[in-house]
Amino acid sequence: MKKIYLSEHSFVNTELNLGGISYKVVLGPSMKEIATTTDNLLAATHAILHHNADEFKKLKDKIFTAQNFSEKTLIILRVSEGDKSKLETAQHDKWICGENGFVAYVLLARNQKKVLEDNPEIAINTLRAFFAMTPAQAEAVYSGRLDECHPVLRPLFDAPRHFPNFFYALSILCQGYLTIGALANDERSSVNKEQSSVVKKALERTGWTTLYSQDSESVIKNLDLSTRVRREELWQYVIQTDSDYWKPLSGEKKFMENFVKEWKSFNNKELTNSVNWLVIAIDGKKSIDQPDSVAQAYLDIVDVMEAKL
Amino acid sequence: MMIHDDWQLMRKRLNHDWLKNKFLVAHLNGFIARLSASNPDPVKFKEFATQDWPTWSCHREELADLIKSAEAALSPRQLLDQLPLSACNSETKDFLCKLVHDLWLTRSSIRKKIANSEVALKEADAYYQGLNPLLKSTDNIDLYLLRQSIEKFIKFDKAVMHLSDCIHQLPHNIQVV
Repeated sequence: MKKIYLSEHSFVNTELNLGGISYKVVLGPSMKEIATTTDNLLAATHAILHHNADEFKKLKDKIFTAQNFSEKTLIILRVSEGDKSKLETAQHDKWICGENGFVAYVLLARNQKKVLEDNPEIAINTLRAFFAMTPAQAEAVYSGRLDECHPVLRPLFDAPRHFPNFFYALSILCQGYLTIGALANDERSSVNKEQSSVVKKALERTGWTTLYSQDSESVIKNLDLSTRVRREELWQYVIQTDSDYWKPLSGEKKFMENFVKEWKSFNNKELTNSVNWLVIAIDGKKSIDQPDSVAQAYLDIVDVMEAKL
Repeated sequence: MMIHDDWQLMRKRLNHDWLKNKFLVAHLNGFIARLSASNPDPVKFKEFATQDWPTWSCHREELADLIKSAEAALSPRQLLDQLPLSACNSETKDFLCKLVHDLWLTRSSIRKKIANSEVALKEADAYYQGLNPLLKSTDNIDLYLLRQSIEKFIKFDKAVMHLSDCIHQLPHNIQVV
């Protein structure tokens, strides 16, 4: 029997009809009441809560200090409404707490409240699919594998985000790529290729040049890159075709589309040649073997971000 | 680890809402103004001593925690726990977490800003502890003694303002580049 927790669901009201499937609704006080007691919530397997940053913070604190969990896993659907909801910058979350490793998945349904309220049929189907969601499927959604969850639920988790996730992710992967390149091709390596001026400039902007000059030994030890073989291995890993290194981006169906949107939110212009080359290479799972182009792309991204700040 | 959004919310509540707007502007500034006035209302002094002044003791540790947790909460390495980078394999994630954090520390002056905030908190707290005995005995507030210490209250006021500015100067978003 699924045990469900509901909180202030105007779109459900009392007309919750889930095709004859029997659910036990545990109880549904307002979020303010949850701030004082989480007992009912902790007895549930699934919960749907409305977004309110202050109250959600209190709820999180309560769960982390709770001792008695009836279930091993709780899947919380956190629904937000308007366009300017703070949830746009938030991410799905996974809380592991208590001695027995109680797990709560907090899955965000951004800007979905109105959609659900305006479309009772969609709401019912969505609820039915959500209540049938298993912990494994919640883990898949949390990890970004939306194809593993019920098709009805996918639009719920795929709502547009305004947080420049791909933009940030690409700049971080470029930092890693340039650093590995610098170490794989430095004077200790068999390659010992001289850095071009654009790579040097990009490394300076990442902070690497300063960091490395301060204490190179401890830096490479901390990064577990002490041996030449290890550095060269890693370099091959980041440049090869369809590398796992770029998969967080290349594995996203709408990577190109979302990246261009994010780029335009910073800078209402076309992608620069280097950024365009890099994005196409990642999307096409091609070899990223042109450090100069990656360096130039990184510099372009930094310029765009800094201009916005 | 306190995540970025929670930390920003905690800073807003503690620094902006309580320390600056409530403790400093609404209460301490008013108290100092009354000390300089010719015929102040004794009830207001008692209210300040019993309700407003002790809130520093309640929030001091929270301020210390806020400052202490700033580096972890503001680091771009937490982006590795969020999509799309959370999909990196564990080896890549481990490498990028260390690298991104170290590069951020090198680029930004975050540790200096945190150290400044810690020093500012200690300084403000030292003034508070020195002045606290004057306001502890709330049944019999000695206005003469308080007025003799007005310069110290003004210094405390400035130290609190400086602390608030230091905390405000900590980043307001995750700095990736």
